Amino acid sequence: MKRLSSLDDLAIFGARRLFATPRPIGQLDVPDPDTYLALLRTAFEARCLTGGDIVRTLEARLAERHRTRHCVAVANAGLGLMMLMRIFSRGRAGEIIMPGFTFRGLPHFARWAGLTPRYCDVRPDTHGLDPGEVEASVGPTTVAILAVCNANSPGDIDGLCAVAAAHGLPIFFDSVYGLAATYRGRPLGGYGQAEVFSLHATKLLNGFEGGYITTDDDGLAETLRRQRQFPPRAGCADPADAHPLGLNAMLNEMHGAMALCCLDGLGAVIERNRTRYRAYERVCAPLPGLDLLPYLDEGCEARNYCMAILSVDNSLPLSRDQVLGALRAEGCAINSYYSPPLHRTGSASLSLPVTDELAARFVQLPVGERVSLEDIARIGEVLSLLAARGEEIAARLDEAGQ
Amino acid sequence: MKLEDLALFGASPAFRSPLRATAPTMPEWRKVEATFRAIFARGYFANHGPAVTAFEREFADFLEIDHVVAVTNETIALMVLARALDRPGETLVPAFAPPATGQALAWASMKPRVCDVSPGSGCLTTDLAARAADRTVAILGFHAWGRQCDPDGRLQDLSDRLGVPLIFDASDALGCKDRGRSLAQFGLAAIFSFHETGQLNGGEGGCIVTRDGALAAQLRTLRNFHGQETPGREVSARLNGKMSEAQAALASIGLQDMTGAIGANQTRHAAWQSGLSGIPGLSLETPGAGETRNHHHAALVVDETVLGLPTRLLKHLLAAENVQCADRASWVADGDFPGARTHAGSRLMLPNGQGIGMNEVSRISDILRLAASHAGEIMARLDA
Repeated sequence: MKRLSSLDDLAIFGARRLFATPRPIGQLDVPDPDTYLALLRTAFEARCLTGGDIVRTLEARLAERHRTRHCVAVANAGLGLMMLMRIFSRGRAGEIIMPGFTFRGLPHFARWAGLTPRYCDVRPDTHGLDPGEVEASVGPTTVAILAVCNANSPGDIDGLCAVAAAHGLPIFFDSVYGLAATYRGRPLGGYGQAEVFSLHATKLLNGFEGGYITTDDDGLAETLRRQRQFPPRAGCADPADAHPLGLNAMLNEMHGAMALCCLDGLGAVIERNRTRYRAYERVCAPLPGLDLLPYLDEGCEARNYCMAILSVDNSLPLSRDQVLGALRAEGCAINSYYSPPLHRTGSASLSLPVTDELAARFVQLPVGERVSLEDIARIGEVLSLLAARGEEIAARLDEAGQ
Repeated sequence: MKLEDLALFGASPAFRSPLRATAPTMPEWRKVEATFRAIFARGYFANHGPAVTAFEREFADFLEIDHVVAVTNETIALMVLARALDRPGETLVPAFAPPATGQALAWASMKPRVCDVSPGSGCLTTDLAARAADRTVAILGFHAWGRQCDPDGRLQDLSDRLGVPLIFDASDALGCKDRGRSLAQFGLAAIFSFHETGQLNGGEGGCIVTRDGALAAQLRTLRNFHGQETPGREVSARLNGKMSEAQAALASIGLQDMTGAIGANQTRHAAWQSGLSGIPGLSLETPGAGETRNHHHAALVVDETVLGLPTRLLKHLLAAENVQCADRASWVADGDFPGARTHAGSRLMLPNGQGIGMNEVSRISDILRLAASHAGEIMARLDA
């Protein structure tokens, strides 16, 4: 294993990369193949890969975990968000309020539902929607509020729900990074009209690909269940008037079985995540200008530690993108975090100062089952070098025109 | 056999356990197990991994088409294709088509303009389409039962003349050919389904196929949030429509033996034909000259006036024997579409595919022959 002592040991300056196999930012939990195959076999014996017992069992277990009345499994989280948006819009044009600092897919989902995204600024600590900013963004054509629960904090859920209630607007949560996290001691899942979670392999709970919606609203759950298997005939001349507008969003049994198997190991996954996160904390603690983003309210609330986000301070002579580039060169298959922000991708000019500041600052560090504590120590050596000799590195990169 | 032998009149059913027309096509478990062990060994589960890449190539070879873009399921395939066409407006759709068609188009801001079909073929005809197509921005044809929807190329001519794309729902047409040419090659693009009840089981799953490289790049951009494959050209709205490694691996297993599976269907089709031969008023949906079909469905064509029994009574009579036929009555659009209504109303899908052998075919044929020869008596008994 390569030891880092001089700048020439860095891959950006031509040294051999630290990791021959890229270290990813996904959880990639894998259950025992035999356990999975035994469960999968029941689906093949029942000759049913869609609409079967496995997904029904998964839904029941997830509803129990989230302490909600309903869990509706879907083919992926994005489709779940599109379904909810379309239910709330009923096909009418209008605006949906969402954070400027979040996953770049969200505005696309809004467009599928016929809605226009209205980006709103976030809080500097939780990175979630700022209730005051939401209040100021509500207009005559606002259809719904889509809030995002981030890994580091679910955000000000009570504050946001109060704004929604005051305006009679539906509010729902993209809680893809909030599985197993709590708000005021209660698991995410039951807040707002509904919450959406992911079963993608790179997320906390691996179901190959998939997602689910949790809700306490019986009527909404029933509508979602009809919607996900395209209600056979809309019964009106124009399907766009149909409520709900259906699609095929069924989660198949192969994916459901994977999620069900991984669900048993979820506690252990979070424990390993926490251990990795603590290792990153130790690595980053002494480094000036490089900080690990904290999980808020750790003492009283549950967190899943699914991400390790590095914050690059302005005091560091290296830019965020230079830090990102240096780590990528070492074989870290990583990205910046929600950058560029959503309001910078369209044509409209909006001022979201907190979002802008956050979007310029973060790097996602490798996490998940493919990352060992040894790997984190190695990454720490790179970060130490970047922190200690930033000026020299910046100069050399400058010379090389990078 | 006499009438008292019918379960409808009290006899025990011909089959102890139900034979379903919509039974899924399942691959051999040992192949499934080996395939999934390989997925676990690779540790690659989603995001266009090696299994999806391999399946897209294998399916393109099988269909003799340039581009296959695999997605979550067939509805997503149509949503993605419609979005790629980026032509908000009215789309001509047949009054006999899979029920999700109109809704999938509506997600992409396309409004279906429903056009009646030929009662015989169940497909759009150029004459009907020409009358309805004046303001449409696209034409969607459906290769019903694997029948080439545009055998004389006139629908394509109409689409060229109007300058609007012609696309096909080919969910019934996997492996079907017209004068040796794969149906996947017709129109600008076509969509396929890998639902478990179809000819190729991918545990859901679907795809779009096209010869157009630029369109394929757009579709690949649209179906996910990974890299942009359409430099300089923004797509209006992307979604997550990815097929997983599990779905692709399962579909690959089915594809490996597709020639064998279609061969078995053809043998079964011949058995149905001989079993039903000479029964007045009953025939089988059968390919015309130059057509090759996959015969995934055995669609019984009922001429009620010749038979002397209503189709729904025949369905009921067979259900009593544990022969669960299916129909496509729910595939007919709301409104005044007599062609579609007649077509769907005169077709019953008999149990076919895995688990249906020559014995089952001949037994069911005998029941149908008995019913046909005693039609008047059956009606009289039921009236009484």
